[in-house]
Amino acid sequence: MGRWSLLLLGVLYSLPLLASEWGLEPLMRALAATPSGAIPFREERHSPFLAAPLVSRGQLIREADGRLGKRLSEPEPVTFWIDSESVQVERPGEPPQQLTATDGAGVAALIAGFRATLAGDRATLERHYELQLAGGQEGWRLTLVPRDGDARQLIDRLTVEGRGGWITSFTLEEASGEVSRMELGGP
Amino acid sequence: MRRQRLGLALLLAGLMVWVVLRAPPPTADLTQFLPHGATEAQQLLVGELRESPVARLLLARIRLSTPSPGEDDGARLAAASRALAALARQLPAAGSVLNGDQLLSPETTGLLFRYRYLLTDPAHHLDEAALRQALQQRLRELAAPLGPPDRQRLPADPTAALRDYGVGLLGRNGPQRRYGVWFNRAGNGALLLIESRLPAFDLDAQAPFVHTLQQRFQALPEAVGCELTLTGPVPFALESRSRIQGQVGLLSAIASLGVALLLLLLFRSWAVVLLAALPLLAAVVVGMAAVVVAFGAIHGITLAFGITLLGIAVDYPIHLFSHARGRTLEAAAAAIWPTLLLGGITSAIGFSALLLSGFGGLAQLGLFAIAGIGAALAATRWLLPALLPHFATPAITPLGSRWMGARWGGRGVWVALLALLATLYLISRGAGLWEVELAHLSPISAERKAEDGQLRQELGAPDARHLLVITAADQETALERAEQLGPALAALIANGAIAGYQSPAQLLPSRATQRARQAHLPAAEQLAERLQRASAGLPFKAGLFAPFLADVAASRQLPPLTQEVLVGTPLALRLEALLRVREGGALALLPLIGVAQPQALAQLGDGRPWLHRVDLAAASAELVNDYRDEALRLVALGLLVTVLLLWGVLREGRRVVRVVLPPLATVLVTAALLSVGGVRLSLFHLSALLLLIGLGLDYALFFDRPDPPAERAATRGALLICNLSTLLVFGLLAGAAAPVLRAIGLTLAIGAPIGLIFAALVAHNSRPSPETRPDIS
Repeated sequence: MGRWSLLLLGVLYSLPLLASEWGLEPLMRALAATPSGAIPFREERHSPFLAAPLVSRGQLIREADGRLGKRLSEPEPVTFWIDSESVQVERPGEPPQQLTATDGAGVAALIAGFRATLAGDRATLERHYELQLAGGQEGWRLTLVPRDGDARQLIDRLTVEGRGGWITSFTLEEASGEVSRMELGGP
Repeated sequence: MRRQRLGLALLLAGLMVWVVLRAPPPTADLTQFLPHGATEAQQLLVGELRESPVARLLLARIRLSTPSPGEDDGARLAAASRALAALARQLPAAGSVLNGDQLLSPETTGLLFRYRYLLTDPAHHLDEAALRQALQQRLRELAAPLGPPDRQRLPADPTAALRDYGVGLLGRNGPQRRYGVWFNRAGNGALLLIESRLPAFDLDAQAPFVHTLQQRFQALPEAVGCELTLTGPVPFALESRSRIQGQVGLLSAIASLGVALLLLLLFRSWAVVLLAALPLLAAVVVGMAAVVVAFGAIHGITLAFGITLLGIAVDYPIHLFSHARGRTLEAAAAAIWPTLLLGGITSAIGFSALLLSGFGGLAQLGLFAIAGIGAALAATRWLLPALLPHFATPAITPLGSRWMGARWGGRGVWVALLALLATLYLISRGAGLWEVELAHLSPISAERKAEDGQLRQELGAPDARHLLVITAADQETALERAEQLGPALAALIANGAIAGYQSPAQLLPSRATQRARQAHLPAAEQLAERLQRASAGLPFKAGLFAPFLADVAASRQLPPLTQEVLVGTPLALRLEALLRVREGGALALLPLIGVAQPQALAQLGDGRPWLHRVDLAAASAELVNDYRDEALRLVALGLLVTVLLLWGVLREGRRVVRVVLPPLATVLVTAALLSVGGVRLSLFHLSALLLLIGLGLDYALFFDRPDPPAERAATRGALLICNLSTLLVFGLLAGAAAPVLRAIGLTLAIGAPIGLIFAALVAHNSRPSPETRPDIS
């Protein structure tokens, strides 16, 4: 083995990268470039307490200032505004109410999982999660596994699927056994 | 003779120092300065001041002093908040510590969970409609992002029974929570509530607690780049004290130096400078010893004000040295002794009225001053001559005769007229003369007070001012009465009069209430049937709520929860603070939160003789005003006795008037001048005016001495030096930032020169004939 064989090895290893140019960095760039707006969704929530899943429909709203809103039309009209670590509930005819969770340390991670993915904020995602990307530009799956103990008490895993800069689904597996899958409509 | 005297003095000094050193250190418990309770409300107040959970509450905020780019600021603050809470909980002096995180341990939560249907009202006794509504609400929560933290308990607790438990008391409904801990509204500060278990007004006990908290926090790795702000009655009291002490220390050092220089300049003797301090020193030691023997311990305030009153002792050695021209100190002492003694006795009588006071603190002050004056007199008369048997004073008489010549005298009518004018003015000022707002006397800045108000509001912490107190024969009755008050308080919240309240019954319902709740719980079959109908059409799994059915059945058999069961939990600490069982009865304290309409509280008392409304600010203002009025009355009484005594000694109406008019006029004119200048008089001004009477009496008595001309010049020179040194010391105090010190300083800086001038104006107009006039070259 000489100098040449080492060089050859290096070239061989970098071939896949050269071929697709797909990876976390391009994904994040693509996500960040996606304009804000409202995307229709359908969510199914499975709970060990329930005989049938809860189904809700509505719109996922991304404001230009980074706020994330979940506006439900079914089963009843209600909007959740999600801040960096709290959730505000607006029901028609009621004053806004803030939801807080006692196990707060994990909540920031949970919210970051949604917000930072939508915003293509890799630094924030990596602070809270181990990231694993599979697939290619035309169909990818990003798996987020929480790093710290507080978040692990709340979340087993968050799986995001998408195509280019568009997210097609979020699947949240909670430590409690609840699983919710949100499917997002196209642009 | 001389040796005997020195030996005796040494022995006495040793004895006194022994007494003082053996005594407990000066106490800082302010409640000693409150009266020993005439009315029940005042007694409650004294107790409240001593033990109130609100007074012992520290409000804490952590903010970042250095933001860290790239790091999550909120997460850093939350970590610092958790670390501070953990360290505070380790301190033995800490009561409950709340930061929004992990309010209760899993064991305590488990205990409460077992008793949940006794501790809170099961909605409509778990009828079908209430169950249906609860189940629909749980379903909504399951669908929402971030379900409530207790949702894992759904099968056993579909009505979420514990959510309303201890609202307000356990910091629920408190500030917003971020990263699992409390944050301020702006989101840039983590908030905590730390309760101290030490008596609120025992500052000596509180100081190490607060300092330990601050120091250990600074040392925490989580606290790097964070700053801790503490507010509340305890930190504020400590800040006032250290500010005042710091200023007193600096100013008295400067003043001592100034007086020493003045004495050195005039007497050109180091011995004089050093020994001039001896009578004051003796006065302080003997005063302390007397108070310690009589009261067991001396209060810090007695010491502080007492030393002000003893300012008069500085004058004694000046008189002595000034009269020692051409003769020994022993001879000089003998010559001025009658005047000194009379002045001392009259001052002591003025202060002795304080001894009769019902206020422990005032009585201490009176004894301290009397014993101190006695000691200073004795030291001047016998000790100084024994220490400096061969002392000779340089000539200082020109000073006396040049500035204080007899030409001034005989103008008593003018002084009386001024005094009359001042009196009329003071009467016209009426109530506006006095400072009623105690807060104005506090050296705490307006910004700090605003900070406290904001933290209090954001934390939902009780008002430091308003409190309801329930008296009862026993704990059970106290709890029942607290519960009985519930609907009336809820009405006050509904119409915005108050924002909330805390009550021991929120933590521990009375036994009667617990039994009533038990009695209303449905039987097992009945509940199963209701649940069946209530959950029809909802997607819950079949049989999911079996644990709920079992728990309700078990709750029907539980013995009521008692305080003993809670021992060892954080709840016991909270309960202890709000519910006290003591000799002859029980007390329940209900601190009020965000009182917007204090007048609306009045109606609560109707038909409830066991309910006491305490407005701490108004009540303590009233206390201090009582204290002031009592002091005024007693001093007037003392003056009357003084006049009688002077009558007995001087035996001549004119002389009595000449001695009494100047100090009286001085006090009146000084008070009027202060008032004209926009100063509202407080207790502190009053103590300064007391000293002014003492000084003024001395001045007048010395002016009244039927001395030969040379002696007269020495007397007046001495008076001028006395006056200058008083002016120097208190003029410096007048520049202090602390209102208390400024009040005392300003009063004496204005009053002392007036006192001397008035004494000179009133003095007997016996112009020395030209041939006996002293050489004034």
